[in-house]
Order: sequence, then structure tokens, then C-alpha cells
Amino acid sequence: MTKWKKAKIELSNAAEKKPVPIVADAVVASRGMAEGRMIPLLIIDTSQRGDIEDMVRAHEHFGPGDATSAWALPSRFDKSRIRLVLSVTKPGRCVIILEFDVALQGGVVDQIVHAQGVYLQPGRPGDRLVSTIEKNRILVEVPSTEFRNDWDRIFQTALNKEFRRRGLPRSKAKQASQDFMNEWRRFGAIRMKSD
Amino acid sequence: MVTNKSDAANSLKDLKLVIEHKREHSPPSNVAIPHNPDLIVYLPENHAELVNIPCTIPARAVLGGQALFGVPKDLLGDSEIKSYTLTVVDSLGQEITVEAILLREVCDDQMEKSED
Repeated sequence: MTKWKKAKIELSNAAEKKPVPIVADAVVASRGMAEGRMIPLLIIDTSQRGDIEDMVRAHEHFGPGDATSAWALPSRFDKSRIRLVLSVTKPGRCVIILEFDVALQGGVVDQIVHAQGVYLQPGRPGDRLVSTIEKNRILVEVPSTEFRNDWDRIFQTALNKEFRRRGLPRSKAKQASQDFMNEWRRFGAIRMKSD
Repeated sequence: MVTNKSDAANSLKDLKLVIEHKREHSPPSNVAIPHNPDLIVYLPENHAELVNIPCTIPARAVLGGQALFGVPKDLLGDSEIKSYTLTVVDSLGQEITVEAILLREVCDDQMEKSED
């Protein structure tokens, strides 16, 4: 079992402290990219974060960049939300904090954890992948091997709560959440066949 | 110019120009532009030799030369430039930065003319 540790994140400005709103999510699988794995894609509202748009644009010109990632809890007593902190160092420096409601967006987090990566696409509220498919996006690697066990517990607890809230008894809720996780991961494990 | 004051030889693995810029109603952005020797063909006349990266600097030696950075127009657009910083990275990953004040800018229009 991993222990949560306090860590300092160097920020360049106050805007980086705030989580960037997620306006839509999807999954993308491409031939020749990440062995055809399904990788989640998040469209984020960058109307207040022009620096993220600049960084994604710079990627288009200068090719692959560098980034580090960390999973974080907003509070050690609250596991209903989880954060993914991305520190991009190349081609430009910026910090992107993404916050997920585990009960509502746990499926997306689970996909990020298992795919160990996420596509980020700057956008505006109302954007969907289908209408913005030609927009610039970056793929960020999110190594999550260490975090996976913790995440399983967090995800299962959130699902148990949700199933019980919907009226299932405790024992059935536990089984239902396990079944949901298995089914969800089976879907996420589908790979695009290479040529 | 880069001076190696040490008694041991060192190497340079990266040379970049970090541009800090800001758009209206947006936090400051920054971008690191890598040194691109291929841009030499666009310069009308060249006197100084180009710095070749990666390169080694012997102990107590000085390395000098010209560095070229290509900045795509759409990258900065209507931004206000806050600073230019030259960053040199050695083989150990240590960075040395110096604020660049006297940059020679050659815009695309001039490049096109010089090609004619």
C-alpha cells in the first residue's frame, strides 16, 4: 500500500493553482500510437488559461515535449475528489491541475490509470470531440503503476457508495461495483489492431 | 560565449531561447525555442561561426558562436514579450541562464527577400 505524501509543486502564477475545468471526455485509439490502446481524451476549458493553449500550439511546432505527473487528493480526509497534477517542462513550462469527482468521473480516471496517459485538448464549454476533431491536442504520459492499488480502493469505495445510494444492499453493492469495474476495464483494454 | 571555469572538461547538450510572453486576460506563457543551425541559410550575411550542439568544452576553455532560433509567427501572435532568456544545459543537466537583451531579429519577410 502506498502512502500519500505531501509534495510541493512549483507554480509560475496564481492561475495554475486552480483546477482547469473539464468540459468533455472521450477515448481515442490510433494505429501506431501507444500500441493502439484506448487513451482517454479530455477537452479542458482554457478560456482563462491562454498559457495552456500556447503550450499546445508550441508542441505542434517543436514536437514531443516533457511533462511529469502526480495524482493528488485535495484533502487527506476527502477521497470523493482526486486530482491529476501535470507539470509540463518542454516546450514551455506550465502546471495543469485536473480535478475529478470520483463518483461521477471515476471511469475516466480509471481509464487514465490503466492507459497511463491522457490526451489534453484546449477548448471551451460546449465543445465535443466530434465537432473539434481537427483541433490541436497533446498526449501526456501518466505513469500510474504505483498509484493503481490505491486507485482500486478509492474507485471501489466510490462505486459501493453510489450503488448503495441507488438502493442496493451492502453485499450486492460490493458485487455490483466489482462487476462494473471488470466490465469497464474489459472495454478499456480493447486495442486498435495494427496493420 | 560559454566559459568552462572547471578543471574538468564538460559538454553542452542543449541551447535554447526561453521567451516569456503575455496575452491580454491570460496568465504569462513561456516557450523554449531550441537552437536550430539549419536557419543559417535564411540569414543575409554571416560572420560568426555557429554553435554546434551537442559539443564538448575542454577544461578552462571558452566556447563562442552564433545561435539561431526560429520562432513561428503564430506562436507569439498578439502577445507582449516580457523577456528573452538564453539557457545552456550541460551534460549533468545543469542550466545556466542569461537574460538576452540584444537579439538580432530577422522576420520572415526579410528571409523571403534574401532568397530572391
